[in-house]
Amino acid sequence: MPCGVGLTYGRMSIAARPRSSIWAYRFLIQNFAQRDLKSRFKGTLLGWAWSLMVPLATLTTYSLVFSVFFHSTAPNFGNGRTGFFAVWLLVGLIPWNFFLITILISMPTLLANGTLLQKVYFPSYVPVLGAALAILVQTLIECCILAVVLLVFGNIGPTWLLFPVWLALFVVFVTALALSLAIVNIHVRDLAQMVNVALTLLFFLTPIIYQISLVPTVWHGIPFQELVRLSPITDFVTSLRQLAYDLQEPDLTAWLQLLAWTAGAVALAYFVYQRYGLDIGESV
Amino acid sequence: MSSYAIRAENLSKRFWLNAERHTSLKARVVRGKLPRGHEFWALRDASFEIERGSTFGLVGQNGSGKSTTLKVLAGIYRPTSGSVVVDGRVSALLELGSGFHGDLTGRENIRLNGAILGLTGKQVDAAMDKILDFAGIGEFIDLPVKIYSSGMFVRLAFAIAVSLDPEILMVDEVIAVGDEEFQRKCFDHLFDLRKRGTTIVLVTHSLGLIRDMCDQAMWLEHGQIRKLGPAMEVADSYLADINEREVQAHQVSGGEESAANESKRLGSGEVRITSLEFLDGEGKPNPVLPGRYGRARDRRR
Repeated sequence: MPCGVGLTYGRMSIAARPRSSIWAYRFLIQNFAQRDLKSRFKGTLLGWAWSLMVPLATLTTYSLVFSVFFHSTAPNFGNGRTGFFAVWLLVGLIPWNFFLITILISMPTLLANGTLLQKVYFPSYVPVLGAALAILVQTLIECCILAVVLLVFGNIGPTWLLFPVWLALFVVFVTALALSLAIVNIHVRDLAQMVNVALTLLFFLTPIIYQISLVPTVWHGIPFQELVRLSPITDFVTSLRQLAYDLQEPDLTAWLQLLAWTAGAVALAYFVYQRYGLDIGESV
Repeated sequence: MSSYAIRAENLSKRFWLNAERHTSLKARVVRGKLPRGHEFWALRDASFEIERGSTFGLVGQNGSGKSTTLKVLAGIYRPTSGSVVVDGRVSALLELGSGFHGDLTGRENIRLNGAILGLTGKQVDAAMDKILDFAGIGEFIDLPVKIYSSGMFVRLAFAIAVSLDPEILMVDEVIAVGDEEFQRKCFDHLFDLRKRGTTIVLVTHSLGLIRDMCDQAMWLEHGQIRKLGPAMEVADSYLADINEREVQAHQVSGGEESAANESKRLGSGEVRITSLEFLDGEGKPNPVLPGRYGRARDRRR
């Protein structure tokens, strides 16, 4: 008999679909995020602790390999103290992990919610934004830990106040990119595999575990340092390190660059959504 | 507020049929341009109006476009051409518990489903007791739904649906999964909504339901409207058409003239009812007995 899932939406008079903004779907986005968070560690003994264990393990491994084995060093703290590689690495790993996990989890999320999208109407960006929100919660916890660590080292400064601005730009940038990829993935299923490869490459082409000064300016005629600088992730990681670790304010050009990347990603997401994202219910 | 809850004009929906729907990049590169497959019109030039507060039935064989119509009205599909105006708070009930997540508890799923249904957190909390009461699954509510029996699953899904108060309800016939008592509960709920003035759009294969519940009905065939009008008339024509097809099918296969009649015979044949007459109070044959008692007389051999 008739029962189960349905959809209620606001009064409308133009078409069968409501013309609502993202804001109108905030409660649904929030619920998708809660579902993701609750189900991810359900049944595991350590539960939520895993969300911190994994980055901690990554941090330890990279610190061991690069700091101890390869003798990599970190620049000095903004307050003048001798640099500490693990802390410096953590500042770079937090944004990278947010980027990586959001992309990896978002891409299959439309397929995973396929049955639901065929039964009820809600915009296809809702599950992607929900997934990103869930990961953001974990990232914010990591940021709090980072803040505590930096406090211990006495490395605090007024530039920390710029962090929310940086975070807002980064979150919008990553989410917009994740949404575009998730939608295109519905039509070209190879994308997930290609992105997997690309992300590994990108990790090593971004100055996260090394300082950009280590990259040769020109190598066999290839301007590597220039290439690494071209990546938006480099811009975001570098600017976070500047304001949280070096306690320096990124200059206006840097901010404008971040803004441009974010605007570009949003424009891409808007185009992809309008072009391919409106008929997900029949494409999954 | 107009007197119509839904108005569709020249509504069409085209699908591209492709054996390999999700072509890989390799195929694209190898074959060059992606083949689009051939087109299939699931719905073509359908115009209809559904009056506010009325119940509208959609009938037709499998693949005739009923569910496509419903999905277009519910906003899940965008029409290829034509326009549709849906005026009112819509609730589309298309499948049992399709928004449930196995790892979440019943209570958590209620919140998630409420959100999918468009309710806010406060509204879900307000309806929580009513939902728990209707579902009646006791302490299981705080356990993951993946361990529920199918009956409990259905009860919870329906309980959530009951807490809605939509202005327009779209129902795709879901084959009754629950027990007899539960089915009655569902029907009672539908009748109750109808009484309260909810506009209902119903896709069903049950002509009985069309006759009992619907005011207007639409009979779809190959995506086109075959008949649109009062539910009784549509149900009758549809039934007549099905019977006619059956007769034709039997004539083709059996070749006997009485095949159609034979096929409808029930029982062992020891006694045959050869005619049936309705008699009025005076015992005279009278086929129509408006509001009066009468007797029926049958002849057997």
